[in-house]
Amino acid sequence: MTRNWNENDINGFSSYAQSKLNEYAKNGTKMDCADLALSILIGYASDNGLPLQLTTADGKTTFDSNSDNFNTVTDYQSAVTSGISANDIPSNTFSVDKSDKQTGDMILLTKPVNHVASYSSVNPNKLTYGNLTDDGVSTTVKTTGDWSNASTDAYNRKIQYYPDKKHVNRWNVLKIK
Amino acid sequence: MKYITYYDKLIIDSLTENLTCSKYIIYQVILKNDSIIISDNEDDIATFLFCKIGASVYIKLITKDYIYSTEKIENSGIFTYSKISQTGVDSKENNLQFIPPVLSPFNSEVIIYCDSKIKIFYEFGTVHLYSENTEKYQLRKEFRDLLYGEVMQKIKTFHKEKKYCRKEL
Repeated sequence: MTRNWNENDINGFSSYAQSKLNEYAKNGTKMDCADLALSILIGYASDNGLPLQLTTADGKTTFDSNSDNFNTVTDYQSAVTSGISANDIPSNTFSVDKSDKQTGDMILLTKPVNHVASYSSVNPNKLTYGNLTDDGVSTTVKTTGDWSNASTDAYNRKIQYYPDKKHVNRWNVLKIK
Repeated sequence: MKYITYYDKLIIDSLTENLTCSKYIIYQVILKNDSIIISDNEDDIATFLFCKIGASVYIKLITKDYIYSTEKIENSGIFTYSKISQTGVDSKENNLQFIPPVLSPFNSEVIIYCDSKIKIFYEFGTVHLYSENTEKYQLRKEFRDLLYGEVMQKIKTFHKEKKYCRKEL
């Protein structure tokens, strides 16, 4: 760690996320939805010497990038992506009104499955996300139009957004006091 | 397909109803200077609507700002393509945990076929909504190439007919 998060990181992370999300989609990178969102956060923090503490939804496990348990960024990323799933992401984010969204902000779903999609573009709005097959295999990162106002998925299953349709989610480290 | 939406769906629904198409095909691409390109620029999305009305086949173009003229295609082979039902996404390919209810032609082309019996779709290029069965690629390419050929044959003949304002998905 070389510095703490500051207000410049709000825009800095947004630009970084936009660039990385587009890069992953263009390169056909295979990743699940949570790993994609986490990899971008860890990549930005690592490039800028910033600390991270990510916790599971039950609060029992915290992944602290300053901990002696992790010798390299790869070690940390590997532990986080193994230990943090889509349903843990709400515990590490805060809500922002959708009209104030920026690239890198996330749409979180709790139904029909736990899912994360990140804005890779605003105006026009585009969402980029990883996915899993029913067998649990990661698929290529995709970019689609903004479906975050939809009430049902392609199977007509109800979509439940966290916290609701009117908000997006931003990593807690970007809540600068 | 029943629950999936796509760019220009409302105007397509209205046009197909007004034109009383017995069958129609939507070919949605990114169009730049009359060329179909691979891109994710939403502003350049172009929707080609092929309609079978009686024994004739017509094509119409919709872009972000305009609805273009309806052009007749002579000797079209698209509605007589016998393997069309085999090109659509099948249940084995529908194996993703989350499938959003939208089709977008970002870095891909979207093909939708509808008649009174079947409604099918597939993506050509980067596939977004399903896991592609590569064994179906050749068949899908064959049908897509037919559509592409007919579009290219007519692309210079369209003229602006009506102003239009595409809404976001």
